[in-house]
Amino acid sequence: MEHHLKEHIHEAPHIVTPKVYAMNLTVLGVLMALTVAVYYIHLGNNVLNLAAALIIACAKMTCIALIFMHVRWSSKLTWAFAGAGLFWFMIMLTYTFADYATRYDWHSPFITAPPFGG
Amino acid sequence: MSTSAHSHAGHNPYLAHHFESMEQQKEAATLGMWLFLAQEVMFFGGLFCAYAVNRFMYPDAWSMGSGSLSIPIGAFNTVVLLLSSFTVALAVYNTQIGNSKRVVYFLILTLVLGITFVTVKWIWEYSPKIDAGVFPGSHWGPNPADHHYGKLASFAQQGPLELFFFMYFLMTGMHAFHMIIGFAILLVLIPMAWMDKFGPQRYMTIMNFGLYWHFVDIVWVFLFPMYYLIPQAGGH
Repeated sequence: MEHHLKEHIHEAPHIVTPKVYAMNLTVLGVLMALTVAVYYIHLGNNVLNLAAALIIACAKMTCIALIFMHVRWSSKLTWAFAGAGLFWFMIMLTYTFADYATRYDWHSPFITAPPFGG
Repeated sequence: MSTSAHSHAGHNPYLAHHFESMEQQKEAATLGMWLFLAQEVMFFGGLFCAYAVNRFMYPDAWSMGSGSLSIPIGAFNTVVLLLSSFTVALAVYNTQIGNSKRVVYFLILTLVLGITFVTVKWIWEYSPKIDAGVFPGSHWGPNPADHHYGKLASFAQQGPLELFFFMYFLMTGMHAFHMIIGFAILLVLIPMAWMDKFGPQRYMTIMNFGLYWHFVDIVWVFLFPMYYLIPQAGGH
């Protein structure tokens, strides 16, 4: 019985206030502006620009997942579920590019391209 | 599952009989949704991987194709989607505090923002491309006379360029399709919220819809820089 009572105490959901959501939206807006700004600034190297765009996109994803999707206040098991898909995606990208990057004799992946179909 | 069978004292009427506590019930609903989203990550992951390989193989075509996309329209739609994530989060908050009128209001606002996104996409992005022959398949062939897409006609690598637009329509189309599924769910949830079917003890349906909607937002967060913001070969 005591066990059940204890569980009832924890039944109250974690409520994230509109203020926190609004702050998150502001951060996302700033990051979005930053993505577009980086495109126009041009970092002098296409790979750097791509890296910057992806890092900002990952930061936005983290903001959305942690605050809007409540992952920050979720159980460790939820964290594991949320991370599982991304982890699998990383495995797929790594293995795929381990193949593509070594199949051709390229000096740089972003300079030379094989003919279409090659 | 809120049956009257659970009428004994101290038992929450919204607790389904196969769960021990509301906490456990909520955790099960959350994990089920995240499992579905992990599957969605794998689904879109395959597309992103195909995108990455093709961009790696045909950087010039990717740069050329991206250069014909409108950054202001893409940025506008990004803002619209981020705002809709905010409104859906506020719908979750108002469900948790038991303000059903506001739940209806924010769900409708989410639907309006979602429809805005898809409408903008159709009228100012898909439609002009299809009219100008910039659509993969048997009718592929950018019209040289088109004031905006005409420059694509003289590009030497027409095959890779077609591949770029194939990936563009496939990925953004699949994203838009997910949004349209979201509209269908919202059209069910809005009347339910109106009839006061959700509340502080029954917020998981809205919460899980929110998870889905935010996930679709995350996909766009990656699609936007990956399609619209590819550095141009000759500078900007």
